[in-house]
Amino acid sequence: MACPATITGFDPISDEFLSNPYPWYQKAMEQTPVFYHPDLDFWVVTGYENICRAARDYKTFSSKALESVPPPADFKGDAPRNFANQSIVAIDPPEHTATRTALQRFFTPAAINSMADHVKESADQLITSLDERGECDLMQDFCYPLSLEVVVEFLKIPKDRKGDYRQWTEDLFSIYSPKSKKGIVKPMPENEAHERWTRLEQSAKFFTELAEERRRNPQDDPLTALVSAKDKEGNPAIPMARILTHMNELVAAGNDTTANLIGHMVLLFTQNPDQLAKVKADPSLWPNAVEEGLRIRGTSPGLFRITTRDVEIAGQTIPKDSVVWLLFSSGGLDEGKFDDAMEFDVTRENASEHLSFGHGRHTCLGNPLARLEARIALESLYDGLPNLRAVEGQEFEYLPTMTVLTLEHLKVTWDT
Amino acid sequence: MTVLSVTMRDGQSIFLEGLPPTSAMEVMRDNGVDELLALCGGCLSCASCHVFVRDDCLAKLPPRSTEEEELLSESPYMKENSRLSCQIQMTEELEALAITIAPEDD
Repeated sequence: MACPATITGFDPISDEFLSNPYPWYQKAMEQTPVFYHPDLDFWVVTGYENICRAARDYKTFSSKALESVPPPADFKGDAPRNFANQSIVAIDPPEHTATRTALQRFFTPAAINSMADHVKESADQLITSLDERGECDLMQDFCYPLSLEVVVEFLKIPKDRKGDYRQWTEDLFSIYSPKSKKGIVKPMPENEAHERWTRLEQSAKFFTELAEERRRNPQDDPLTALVSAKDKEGNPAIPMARILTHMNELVAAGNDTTANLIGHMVLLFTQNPDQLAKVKADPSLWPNAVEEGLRIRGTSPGLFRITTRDVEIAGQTIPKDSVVWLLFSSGGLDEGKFDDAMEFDVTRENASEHLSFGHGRHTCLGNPLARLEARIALESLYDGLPNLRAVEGQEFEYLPTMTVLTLEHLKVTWDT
Repeated sequence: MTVLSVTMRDGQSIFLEGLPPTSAMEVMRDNGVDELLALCGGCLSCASCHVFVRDDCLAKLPPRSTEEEELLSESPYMKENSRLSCQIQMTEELEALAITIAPEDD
């Protein structure tokens, strides 16, 4: 077999890649859209059509490709070690179908639209608390608090644990690591792994108790739907270990990804004031502007798959049992699909054809909520904070994860 | 007025009338037909909104596209009258359409 193509210097958890992946996407799509990354023992798929093909073919590209960074050897807790491989992004049919069936009625556009007033009120409340300051850390003072409030309201889980939910989100995403036949896992200092696993154990205990409470007192909410889902024989369709992971990741997905979409769009509008002027002049452009933000920056670089057979894609033969990183965010930057792909254009006609919510059976369940929340948040920010813009020259710090984009801080200023 | 008759997997039927000009998948989803998964939301990238179209209605629909054909061919339940309901537009010209939700793929 020919040697697999590689790209020298590629490092998906480096600050350089996380803060500006575009040069690497371009390099890959020009040189070898599909390549092997030996350091972490996985293949990378870039390019719109290559990603779509792989994402549609869920039988060849199984989602069972995640594992957890293990706790240190001296970790005494009994937290489930399989957080990562129970995740909704890491299971296949029929398990994936059972989970989606239980949850999907909460995520229809009609159900999501009922959240609009709460999103608007929450955004306005945060803006009112900020408006005389003239500057803030948009991620910590607006984006994360708003997204957390919205997802907690949506999931109907206790609001007094919001601080924990945010921390558990970072812990959960941080321990996700692609599987490896060679035993390679994402590097993490031992003390960090210990702290994250200690907190994840707390989250497991919390959601177990909450699930038991829902069993006793059913509500019209996603957790009740998960604990009461039945298979064809009338037995519980989703085991408790998976419910714990699902609840953790529903909170996590809701409070991380949309927050980062909002923050990165403020950055994009700061860099492209002409585009902001267009949406201000014609507010009907806001939904398409959100799509364009998703296209050009996304909220998750990519997700992992594992091959169930040898498969040829873009001239490379990926062997069976290989982990593959579908770099969804590169799909939005593919010049073959999007003209002048590097240009942020709020009037782009095919903006919504991005792959930032994935493609195929694993398309993001929460995408209607993310779209609604980002649009309302951005409208409210630009209505409430005159001349809002990101502070120039700041450095960006990202959480070193491969499945989500997590910007810690974004300094912004506005006229008072 | 466009009318959609939907037969569920348990054999029960519902009738949906006065429909907006959207896809049959969206009509069913917006009317609470939970057993239709429609996982990808209608972007022609999965086959989880698979339905069978009653034979006398088939002629009213345009032929399947290559992509739709490819996705349906993955299903062990594919038949001549198989369609992805996200690709069926509920136009006025259609008048009435009768479909059955296909069995769930494993």
